[in-house]
Amino acid sequence: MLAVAQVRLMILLLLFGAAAFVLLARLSYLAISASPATGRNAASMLVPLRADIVDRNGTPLARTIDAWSIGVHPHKVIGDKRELAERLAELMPAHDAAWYFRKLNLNSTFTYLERRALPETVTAVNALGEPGIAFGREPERLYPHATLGAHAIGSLDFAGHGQIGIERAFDARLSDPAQRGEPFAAAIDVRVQQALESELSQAMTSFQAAGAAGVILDVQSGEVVAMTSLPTFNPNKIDPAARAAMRNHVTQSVYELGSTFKPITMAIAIDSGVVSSMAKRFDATEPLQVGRFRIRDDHPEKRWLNIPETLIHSSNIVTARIADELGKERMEDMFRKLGFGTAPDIEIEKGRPLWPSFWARTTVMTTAYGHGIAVTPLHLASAYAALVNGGIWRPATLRKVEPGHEAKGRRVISEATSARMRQLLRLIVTEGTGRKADAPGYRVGGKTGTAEKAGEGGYSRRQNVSTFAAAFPMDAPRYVVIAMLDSPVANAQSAGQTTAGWTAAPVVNRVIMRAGPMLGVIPDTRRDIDLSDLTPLIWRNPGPGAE
Amino acid sequence: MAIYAMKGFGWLLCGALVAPGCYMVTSRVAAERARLEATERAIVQAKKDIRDLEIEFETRANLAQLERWNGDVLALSAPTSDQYLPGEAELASLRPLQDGGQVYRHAVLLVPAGGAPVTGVAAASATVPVTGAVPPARADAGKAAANGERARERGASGDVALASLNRDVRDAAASSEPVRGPSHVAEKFKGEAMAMLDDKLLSDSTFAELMQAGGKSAKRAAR
Repeated sequence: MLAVAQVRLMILLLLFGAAAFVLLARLSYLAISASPATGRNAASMLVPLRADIVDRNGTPLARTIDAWSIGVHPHKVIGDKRELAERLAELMPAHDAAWYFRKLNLNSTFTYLERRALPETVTAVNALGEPGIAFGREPERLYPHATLGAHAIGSLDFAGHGQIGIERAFDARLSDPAQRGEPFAAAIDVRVQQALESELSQAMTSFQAAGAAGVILDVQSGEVVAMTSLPTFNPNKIDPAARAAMRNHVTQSVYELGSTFKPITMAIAIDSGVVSSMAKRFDATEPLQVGRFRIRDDHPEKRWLNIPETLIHSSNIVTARIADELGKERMEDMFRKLGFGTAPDIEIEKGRPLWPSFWARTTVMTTAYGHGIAVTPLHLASAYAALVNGGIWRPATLRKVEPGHEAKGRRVISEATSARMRQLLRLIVTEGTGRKADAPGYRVGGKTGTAEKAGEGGYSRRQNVSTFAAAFPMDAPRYVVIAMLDSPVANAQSAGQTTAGWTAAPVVNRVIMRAGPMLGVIPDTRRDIDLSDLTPLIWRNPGPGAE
Repeated sequence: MAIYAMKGFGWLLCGALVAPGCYMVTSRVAAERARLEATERAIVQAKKDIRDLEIEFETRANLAQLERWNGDVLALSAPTSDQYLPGEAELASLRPLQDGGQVYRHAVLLVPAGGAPVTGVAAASATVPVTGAVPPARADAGKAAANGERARERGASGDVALASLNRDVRDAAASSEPVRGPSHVAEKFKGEAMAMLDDKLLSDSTFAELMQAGGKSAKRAAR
């Protein structure tokens, strides 16, 4: 009997011993293996929840900050709700007492009263001493430059995912834990963006235009250095009433871009040998009748025009005649090579161009001067880049491209044709409709385009889409600048005109003068592209005041 | 026997002296480590603060704001092509004071007027929406005082900035070009209460709170 009791005691003793041993073993394991929290753990706090977006020079465009939020657990409120609502309305005047009272009586466990609150407000609300009110730090996306480049940078939805722009296109990269410590470098240069946006805004306000779009593209890499669509929006405070402003006119809206297409037609003609000599002349004495269509010039010269003169005077008749000689296949093939048949090559949201469903003879002729085909301004920018950069078309990108990593692209015209196009584009600015874009010293070349806006019941003569497509410096092109005003209204500043030469060209001039030096193009009035073989071909009216 | 007894005492004494010594060493090491830890944490916190301040600075001095200052306060313009020199030889032969400086006088062509960006609402209603919420009436007196203060301060800073303007702009001003002087600046700021803060960025409530805060501090200053 005693032995049994002793054995039981022994077992109990062993059990206690084992328990003590387990505790000791665990303690020593913890003492050896577990490392205490160190500064290195704290360093991980510095990695943001979503990667920053910076411009090509490292200036932040979007950052995630910790913002205060004030919320309420309606069931936990112990004070008088009516009185509390009044106090809250005093402290946070964004809403009235009735609104706060409604929130305090909601049948839910939690609701926000204010997000992105100031620390002072949080202190003041905390001083009310209501246990039902809760404060939190929440990650919030802040866009320091507000409306600047909003369409390109984009914004987040309520759940914190990209809604439009870079935020949406690179959502996975920006929220990837392995990569979010590194900021995402966009191709945009924020200073250039500011110059473009402010000049376009001013022109849009001055001409009471319905909208405006502008883009600056690096001709060698296809990087979008600046992209503006107006009206714009503030991604920090998205106004539900202004949803329409979130549409990107550079990549989503398509326009018939008018005469800016003429240099493209001319490039096809030169490249294919249809125009073998710059002195080749075409009949522009009277409007061209094709079936029931009548193609006429805005400023009829009523004579035979050679190639430089055609572009300088922006002759629809001659361009249509050249396109007719080129034929459907060659025109269609080049437009497809320039990407006009598909949505523009860019990472963010984009719209499909309006491609003619049937290529009749008249279609070929009208598309040659930019009617009957509607593309985005970005399409035009990429095409102009290919015209002047030696003939290589490259997709546009919003991601910064390191030197030497440019997309391979595809050849659309020959080197020689591109050299000729550079001369012709420069000539349009020095002698033709683009004079107002000639920023001194920057060797600007480009083409105006004033298209009649298509609406119900055909084209409107009153409403124009005025575009200026430019490249600079023409002796070694580096950037393409496109400025477009939708339905500008004539005023004294434009001498009563709504044409691109009076509305969009001055914008390009000012943008280049402001942004050129930032882009590393130093103005030099003594340098220019050699035009000596083309200038003798221009016939000048020997009337009074002429040279 | 006595020696044997003393030996035990000796061990005790030895233990009593060495053990605290050892303990002190470990505790000092631990304290040193803790200080290092605290420093590392402080560094991280400082980095975080730097990031926060950077973003605040970027926001307050965003490019739209800088353009407004450059255009309206400093009357700066983009340099024209003849203000660039192609090389050292040209720089050496530069005679800016030749003919009384007439050669290098430029009209101010490119003063950015600082038009507010056209937002969707503005375009839709064709009027600029009034974004500042109406502050409570009791803050009004204080607010006006605070704004007066600010306007005076800014007027003074406008003075300094204008004094350091480049020659071209001063010349343009002398030749009766409509370049705005400091008095104009002060007036402008009196009129545009708090317009220097980016009202597009701040929400209505934040704006109203800033107004209130301004009013309170002015009252405190007046007492």
